[in-house]
Amino acid sequence: MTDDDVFAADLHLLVDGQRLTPIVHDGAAVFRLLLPAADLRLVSRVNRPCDLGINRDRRLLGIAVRAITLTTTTGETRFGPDTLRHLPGLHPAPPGTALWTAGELPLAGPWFSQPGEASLSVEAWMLPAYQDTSPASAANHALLLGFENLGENCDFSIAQHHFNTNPTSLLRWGNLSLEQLLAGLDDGFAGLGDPAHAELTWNAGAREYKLRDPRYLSTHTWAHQYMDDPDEREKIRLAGCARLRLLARKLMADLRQPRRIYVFKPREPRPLADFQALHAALRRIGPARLLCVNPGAPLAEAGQVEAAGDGLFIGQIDRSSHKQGAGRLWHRLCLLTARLAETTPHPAAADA
Amino acid sequence: MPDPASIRAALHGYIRAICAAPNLALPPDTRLDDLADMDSLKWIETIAVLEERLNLQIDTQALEHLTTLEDIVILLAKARPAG
Repeated sequence: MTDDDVFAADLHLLVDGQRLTPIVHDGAAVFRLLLPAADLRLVSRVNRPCDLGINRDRRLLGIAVRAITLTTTTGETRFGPDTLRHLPGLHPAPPGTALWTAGELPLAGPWFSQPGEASLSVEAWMLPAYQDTSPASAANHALLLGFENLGENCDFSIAQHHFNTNPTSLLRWGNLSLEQLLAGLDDGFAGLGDPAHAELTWNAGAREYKLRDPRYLSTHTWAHQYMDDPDEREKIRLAGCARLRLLARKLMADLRQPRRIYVFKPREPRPLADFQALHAALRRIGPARLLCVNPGAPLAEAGQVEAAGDGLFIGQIDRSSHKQGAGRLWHRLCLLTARLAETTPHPAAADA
Repeated sequence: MPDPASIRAALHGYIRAICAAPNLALPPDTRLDDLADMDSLKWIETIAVLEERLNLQIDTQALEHLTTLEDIVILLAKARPAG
């Protein structure tokens, strides 16, 4: 566990209604508190593994607690999974060495009644991303909803999900190269979703079927169960093709009258000329604005954005969205881009 | 043009087939998040398949504002004939 994990999960302790924030020490979240306390609650944000593409688990899960250690002036008491499983509101977390909270874990008992200073150390696993349900989440949601992913992978979509923002779009869960994206924009993704060009492949590493059109993209299906029956696989393939046809039509319609700023993040750093080529391809369709985010930035440059003219913005990031802290960086990139966009003429005005 | 009742019947039939639950109760106010065997991709696929089967063309921007089963029925009922 790191400081970024604690921030992403908004992990805290409520002690008789007072919020305590932990420090991270030796990979555990450590709370300093003054006992006695009548009501202690370990609180975090939650998320559903199915929404993160991890598996089909639809439970809202908080953190997976491996152990809780209470240290008081009289000694140390460690609660492992065997003890914790008797607390209400915990779910088993395979392989049985931890228990998931559902976002709030009441900690009650005589251990917290003895007066004096104490520390509570929580050893836990985290999900890779959490939904932000803080009071600021509505504003964050509105900000992130103003952007739409264009590739090269799902990195930005994972960051959007952190802010409960789940736009319906072709490339939200798509994977494609810049060259494939340019080809698609140039021909309007003609024929995308044609079963003659779509193949369903089992990705053993991710344990998921992917739907692939070699001309344009590969996309998730969220089908995580291997299927022996070819008829079942064909149903998945044909339904996925119908989805691609519908969402390709939506993308092209949206690009003609864009309401969002499009986001492109290559897997490897790209030169400005590549981003200008993508921007030009978008501008041939409509007055789109584009944020291109180069990966691999030095820490000091991560989260910075510059305007490159005519609705093109160039940002920097230093980590993927599977790394903790990426949500904060993407939020900053979107906030800075939105501010820059407000202060520069919209391309539509120039076209008029 | 299909009427809302026949759209509703087609929608319910498709969902029950996907969920392999022939008797699944599907009240109109069922939230799309509430069906355990469905996810956001399956909902888009459901709409895409029904749009083509019913020979309709929906307003794609309306895909962003779907919350309940009945929202899907209304979306398809307002669609124009394809082609």
